[in-house]
Amino acid sequence: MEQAFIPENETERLKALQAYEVLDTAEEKSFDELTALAATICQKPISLVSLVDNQRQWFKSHHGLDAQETPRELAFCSHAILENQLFVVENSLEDQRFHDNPLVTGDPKVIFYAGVPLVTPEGFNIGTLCVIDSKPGTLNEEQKRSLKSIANQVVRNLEYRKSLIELKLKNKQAKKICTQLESANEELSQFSYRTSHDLKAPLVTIKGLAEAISEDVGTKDYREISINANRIENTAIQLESFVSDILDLAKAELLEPQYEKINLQDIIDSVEANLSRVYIHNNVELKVKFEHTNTFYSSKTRIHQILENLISNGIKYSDNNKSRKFVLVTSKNLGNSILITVEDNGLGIPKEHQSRIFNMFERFHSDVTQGSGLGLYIVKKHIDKMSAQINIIHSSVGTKIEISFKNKDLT
Amino acid sequence: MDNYSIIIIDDNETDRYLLKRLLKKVKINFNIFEAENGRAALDFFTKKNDSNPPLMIFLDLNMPLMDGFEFLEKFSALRSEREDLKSAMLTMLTSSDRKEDILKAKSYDFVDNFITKGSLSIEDIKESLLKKFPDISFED
Repeated sequence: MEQAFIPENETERLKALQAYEVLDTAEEKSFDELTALAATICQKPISLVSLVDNQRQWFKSHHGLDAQETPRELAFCSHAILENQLFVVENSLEDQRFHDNPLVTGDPKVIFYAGVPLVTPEGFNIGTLCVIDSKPGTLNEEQKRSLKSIANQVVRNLEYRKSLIELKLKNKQAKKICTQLESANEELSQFSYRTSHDLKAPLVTIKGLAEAISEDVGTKDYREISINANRIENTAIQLESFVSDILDLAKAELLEPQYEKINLQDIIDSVEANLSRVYIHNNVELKVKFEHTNTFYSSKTRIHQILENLISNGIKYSDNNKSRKFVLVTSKNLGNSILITVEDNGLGIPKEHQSRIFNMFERFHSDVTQGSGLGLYIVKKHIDKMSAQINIIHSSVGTKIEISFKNKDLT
Repeated sequence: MDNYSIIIIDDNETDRYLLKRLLKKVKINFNIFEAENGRAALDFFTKKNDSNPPLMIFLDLNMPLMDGFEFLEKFSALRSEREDLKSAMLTMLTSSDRKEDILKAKSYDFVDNFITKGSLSIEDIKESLLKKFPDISFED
């Protein structure tokens, strides 16, 4: 017995075969009909679609034979794929290469064999369409031509099958993108509704106050005029901070990933300077405690906005019943990642609301100056864009929020 | 007759002030109560169970803790078991002018009116009162 050579392009050939994702799949009518047709036309009892794998030949279709696969070294098809044309053995008992092959001497007694290589569009012979008989035989010219045509059809079936699989995959991806788009769209529509509402509401209030002032000028009620002028100022401040929240949100969405060296103390200083203009009378002490180094690599704008929102929440929602009000920022450098906590002894977030705190436009403290309801939503946007983590940690004195993110060390 | 009770449910202190100012011009003695959100208003109704039920309720939509719609749902349930709340007229007074919001609010039969903040006039209030009390008189 002579074993067939391994083709020179074996690695690429196997890759091409695997790309069809057909090995070890169920029987399919479209292949079984072709082997039945080949057997009828060639008038042989057995016809196979044999795919030559690394160690075996595996049958996608096996007409007239019960086996699903045989070892590659015994396979006639291993020889047939080395040719670029029809490979015929009219009587294997008289053939040097096959006379003592167990498939010849034993079942299924492959005495006659004719196989056409299955050639992929890239030119790889991945297997054969073959017909087999247990007695010697021949094929006439018509039968040979038909066998070649059917082999071409087998390859077309495989190609069609492959594009169907790809299509299904693309379909699945498209559906996923569609769902994402739908939810983004829903979010956007909710956002634009609430934004236009929240921009308009303070303007209506200011208009009402201005009318009130005009009326009071008539009656010279200067005390009331002064109170209302103050209300206008506060409402305008609230509107202004709402607008800057919206701009921050746009930044959170659009910011390109950028990593720069960050000194946490610098960021805290800048946040403190920004906030001190807003919260003049809150008397909240901002404390910092850094372990290890306080420099790391991340997006400066994102870290700045996250901390500004968290710290300003700590100041805004401080508890006036406490004599010493504080916001404490700590940081730890854990090597690959940075852990920052912002803790306060303020009003705290009621437990039943904690699942909703990152939602757009959620507000939980009605007795405190109106916020935009966007603060923690902006924080979450940044966190998601940075693939960072944010958690509410249990705190007995107020609120404690922990964020952790990768330290992109550029050195 | 006793003073009429009115409750304003709105988280915005300035907007409550502007409404109170307007109510003063109606020239009727109102007892005005205020609630910062739906939950505070519900608490008020559960506690208050006397001979002077609220005549008018002004309700904002967008509020923290319990918004206007959640309040409507809870109030509707409360109202079905409380005789004294049956006569209360509820006016939505909100910054929203969205159709869905108007339809949703008006699906409650006790919601009498849906007015956008800033466009409420003395006449609107007088008209609402006259609907309920045809012989009411406004001092001049």
